[in-house]
Amino acid sequence: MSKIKLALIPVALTCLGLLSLYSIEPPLDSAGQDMFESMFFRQLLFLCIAVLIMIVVSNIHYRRFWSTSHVWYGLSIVMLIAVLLFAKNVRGARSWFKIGIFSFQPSELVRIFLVIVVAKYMSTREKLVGRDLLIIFAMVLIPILLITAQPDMGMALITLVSVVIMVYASGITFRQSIPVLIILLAACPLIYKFGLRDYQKERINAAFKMTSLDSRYQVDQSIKAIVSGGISGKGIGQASLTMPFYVPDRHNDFIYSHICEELGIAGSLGLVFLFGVFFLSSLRLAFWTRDLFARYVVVGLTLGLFVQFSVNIAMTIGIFPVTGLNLPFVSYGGSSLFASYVAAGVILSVNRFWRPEFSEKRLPESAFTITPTKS
Amino acid sequence: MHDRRLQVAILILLGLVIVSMRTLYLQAQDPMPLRAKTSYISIVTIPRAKIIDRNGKVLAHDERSFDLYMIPNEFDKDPTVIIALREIMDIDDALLTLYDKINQRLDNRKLWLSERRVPQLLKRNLSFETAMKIEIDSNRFKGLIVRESMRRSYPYGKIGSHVIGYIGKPTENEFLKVLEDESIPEHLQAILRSRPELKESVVGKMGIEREFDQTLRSSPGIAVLERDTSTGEKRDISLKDPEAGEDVQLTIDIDIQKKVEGILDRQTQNGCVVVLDTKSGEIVAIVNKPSFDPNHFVPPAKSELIQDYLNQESKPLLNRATRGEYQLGSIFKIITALAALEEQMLVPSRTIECKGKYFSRDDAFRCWIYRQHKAAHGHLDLTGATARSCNIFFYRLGQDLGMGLLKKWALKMGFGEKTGIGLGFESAGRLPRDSAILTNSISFAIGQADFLVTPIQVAKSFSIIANDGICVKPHIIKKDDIASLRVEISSENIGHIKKGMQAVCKESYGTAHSLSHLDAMGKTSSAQTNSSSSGAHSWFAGIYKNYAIVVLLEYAGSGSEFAAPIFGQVASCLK
Repeated sequence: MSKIKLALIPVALTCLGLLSLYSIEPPLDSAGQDMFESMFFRQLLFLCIAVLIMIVVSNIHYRRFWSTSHVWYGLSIVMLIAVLLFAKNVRGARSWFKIGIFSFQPSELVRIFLVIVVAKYMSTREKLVGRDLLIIFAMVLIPILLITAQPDMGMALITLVSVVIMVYASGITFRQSIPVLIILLAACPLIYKFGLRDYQKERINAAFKMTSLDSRYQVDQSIKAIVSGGISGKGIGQASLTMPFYVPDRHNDFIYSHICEELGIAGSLGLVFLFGVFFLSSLRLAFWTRDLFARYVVVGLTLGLFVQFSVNIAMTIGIFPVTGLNLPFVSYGGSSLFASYVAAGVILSVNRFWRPEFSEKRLPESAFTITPTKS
Repeated sequence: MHDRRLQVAILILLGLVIVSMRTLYLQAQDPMPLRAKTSYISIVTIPRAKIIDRNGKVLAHDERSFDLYMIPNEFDKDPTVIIALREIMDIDDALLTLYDKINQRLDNRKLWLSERRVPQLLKRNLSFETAMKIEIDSNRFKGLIVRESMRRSYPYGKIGSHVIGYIGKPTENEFLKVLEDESIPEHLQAILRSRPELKESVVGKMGIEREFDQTLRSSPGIAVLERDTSTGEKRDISLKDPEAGEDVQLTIDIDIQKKVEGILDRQTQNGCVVVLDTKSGEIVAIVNKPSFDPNHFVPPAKSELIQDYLNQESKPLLNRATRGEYQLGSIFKIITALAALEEQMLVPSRTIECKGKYFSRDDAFRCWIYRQHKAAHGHLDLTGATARSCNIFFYRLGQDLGMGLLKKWALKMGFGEKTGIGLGFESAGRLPRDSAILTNSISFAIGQADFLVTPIQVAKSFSIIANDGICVKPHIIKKDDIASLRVEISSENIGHIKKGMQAVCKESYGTAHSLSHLDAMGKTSSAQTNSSSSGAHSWFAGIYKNYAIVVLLEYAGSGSEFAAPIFGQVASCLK
């Protein structure tokens, strides 16, 4: 049951996104054009590929990731360096490879690999101590710095945050985490001063209404769109393509406001509900499994998606700075979609392959308190 | 602490609740204030009212024309549009500065952004071909719109131009006055102030166009065009309906005006003719030479043309009939005679001898006949003296009457004050100052001294004589209620005066016996001007049928030689 939910919800979410894309850019209007010029058909194609990827990944035993984690870590570093060296500069950032009609953003995959690497490290420790935290922190810091260098602060931030919550969830005590917290806190002003570009600072200021109207423009438009949709929404295909409700990037980062504008409460609550069910089922899976590695991986991936989800929506409804993060499963874009489905695939793999008899170790006391359940 | 599972689950639930609450809060808000922001202001202009003559012929009206509008946002997207535009029409600097102005006019950025999506007036009065080219090839001219509009036109051109007047762009003050008149809501003032539709609106600058500007002007309608972006529905909310101006009908008969202008045009001298219907007080024609074409003043006017009009020494813009101040000369003898009769200082049978010279207490005067022929008129009665325009006869009357009585009667007959015919900038002329010096009253008696009149005043005084003392207020706007008042003159005395005036035209010795074929009466005048070198003004004022006609030729010389024949020609135009 849980498995079907975990597999179907991402597809349902993508279909919701497709519905939006259909109304943003009706694909059948542009007669004579290549079908795959339109966002709708491209996303449909991406969905098919993504579902295939999910099925393939979910059929790989998750322990394979355990045994090959060093490969993934290495691959992450190589990809991130390569993207810095070879990628074209798009809108001031080098984060994309272009392969044929596909664009590929390595940092999306790196997030997943990092979760696996950290999960493996944590699962090999008897008991996590302060030193372990520093090691994990150091491991994570290298790829995160590389992502920051692209620069893609949003991605770097949520990668860091999801790892931090994942480590916290493993049961670390406050005292153990003091050195890491000190380093992180010390880094914050430094990052603001040196790490952020002007436009990023402006966005942070904008979210807290500290600057002029212009820098809040995107968020203002997004809020206007949501308000104009009201309770019932304007109906599919009825969202305005013109000023003043035009929301920039609404096929992508701001797709949530478009869904709200067209579908009203049904769209917004439906979407949040689907995500909620997905997160909680996946969390339940994590606590059901006795394999520490599997547990850490599922918690890490779920939290990664959750942080991305909440940051994205918080930004469209104007309670968080504009970070350039899109909505997992829903937003337009191949590489983000593939990465999300890979994560879903890994979670499904745990669901499929974990059996109590495969549990190789007893769980340490310090980890989650478990009440054994029967599968 | 021990159950981190719960904490993680709570974290996720908290996130879900926060985002859904905030979304619900936004969705529950009233979207109407947002929709109101999608409104654009549009200005609906309607034609200015017509000016028509007494028979309903159109003297001034608004013609269809084409205006070029630009939507700055779209225009800026494609730099090739301006090149294409250059190919089909002259884009002068003024046009480009106008474009800059649209970009700069509003300092409020939000207003500016919304104004950039609204068509802005770029150029008035495109030629038909240019308008069609832009209209047909709309792909090439993105962001440009051609709209039909109105342009003032004067079909008769120069004919009657001094009465009709002309229009022009409002000055800053006039424009602000227009804004006040329209009672526009305050929050729209900034936008309307910046819109060329109002800035480029026209106001009357002269003549009837100026005097009756309020009547003629149609006030534009102001509408808010609301677009509901959720449904794409458009809605016009009228803030103010356009109000059409009222046509103004003149007493001018444009056909007579045209004929008289033809007559005056054939003369070498500048001058003017006034034709006044004495019964109704209606002015049938006011002709000035030189004249101007009001069509040249319609914006966008060529400034060289206007400068040319302003710089000409002959002052073509001057309405000589109402604004020109001239020495009257011998025509005033009629008033002197009337005064003497009324003040019982003269009986019609009394004769005075003209010896060619006249000696007063402290000066010597000569009759014109002595000056020209070294001759004298001999014994003359009133009729003979009027017909021959003898100076000595009237010097004597002037000496008897004195300055005070002469001025009293000049004033009674309408000199020294504006006639109030309804055209602006009218001049009041000038009466001599009170003085005890006898010389002044003697020369005032023959219309010299420090005495200036306007031709329209002369026409008015002659209409009083024609009406046997009833003064019908002369006017130029057709109306039913005619103000008239009685000047206390006995009709018997007027009869004596008329007899003299008839003799001027009828008798062989009359100064205007060239008019003997007409049943007319009148008086010539060759008024000496201040500058002796440039010659006398040639006048003739007369009554023909029920018309009072005044002819003036500046510096032409003798009244009987130049002005009187023109009177004849003008009279023959009148049915």
